[in-house]
Amino acid sequence: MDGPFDAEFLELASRDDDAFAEIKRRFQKLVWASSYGFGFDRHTRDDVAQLVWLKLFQSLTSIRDPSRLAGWLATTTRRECIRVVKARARFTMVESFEDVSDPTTKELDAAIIKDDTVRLVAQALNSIDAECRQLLRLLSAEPALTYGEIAEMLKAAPGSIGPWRQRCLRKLAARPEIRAAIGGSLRLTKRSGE
Amino acid sequence: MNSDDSFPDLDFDDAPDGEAHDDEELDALFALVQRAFAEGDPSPSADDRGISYVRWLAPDADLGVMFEVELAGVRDDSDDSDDVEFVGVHVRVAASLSPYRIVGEVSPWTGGTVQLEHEHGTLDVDVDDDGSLYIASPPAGPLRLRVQSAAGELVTEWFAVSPGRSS
Repeated sequence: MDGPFDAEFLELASRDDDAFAEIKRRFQKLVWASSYGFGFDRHTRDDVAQLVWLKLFQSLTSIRDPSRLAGWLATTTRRECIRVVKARARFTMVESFEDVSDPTTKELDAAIIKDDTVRLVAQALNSIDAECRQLLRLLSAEPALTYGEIAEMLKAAPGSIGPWRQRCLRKLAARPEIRAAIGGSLRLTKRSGE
Repeated sequence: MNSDDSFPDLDFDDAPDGEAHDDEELDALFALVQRAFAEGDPSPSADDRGISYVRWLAPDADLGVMFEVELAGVRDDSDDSDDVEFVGVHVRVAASLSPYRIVGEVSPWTGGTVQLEHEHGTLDVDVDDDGSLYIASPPAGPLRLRVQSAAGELVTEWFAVSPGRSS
């Protein structure tokens, strides 16, 4: 099945493991991308993903608009991540998310990337602010989330996502790693008159 | 990063270094960003985890995966209980755990049996018509709940109620 899942298919998935696995295959990367940015290790992100799949399984016959399944999964994943953050904070008596997350956790591991240019881009991504990094991660999700869905997840105005994306990419382009690696090929030069 | 689920207001007029790039350049950079995330933050390979994984872990019942939660109206803030939720495919158990008591709720509850399994045996747990349960002075050591109802069977992860338990 290549097109959007319909209500009939979701109902089938509630009683057929193969159909459910097909949904998982379609959206696995999107759920993974949606748990990015909370400072969790891969094990925790995997736990979150498992709960999201369980919740989906429990909700298959009650999802009103199957065309919005991607957004439902992304939002549910983010909510579960926030719940984990709050639970950890409650037990460790911290005041901010940064106190809970492990700063040594590298959600984006540049070292495992083989291509030199892509690896440098990953290094540069790890150097920009966390909000930009999370936005670009969500924008990179497969299948793609709409700007509206991302805005809802990030509690941002829908119209701000496009400009925010451009701004984050400009920040990235200004990083020395990017200049050194691809500045020439991307023609990262000042416009005339600036 | 913030502690809540919203982002701060952003000032898009604050260009990083006064440099501007056209959309084509930024789109080309974004293509590399997509590759960086795909290769540097790969999702776990597609496998049979998920519902099948849960069933495999507990072949005679779905495994309730434990998560820390807030149980409004259940938790007594003056005690040292931990609020958790065990989520299975068909049944959930929300519970407040402390060395002195376990207060919980099974949902959906359509009648059946709940047992508390511990190192030395099994205790039958009374459940009222609403699915609420109460266990006074639970045994020390590893514990888990087994629910058998018309909605499905669920066995929770092992947990402990002694102070300082890991979550």
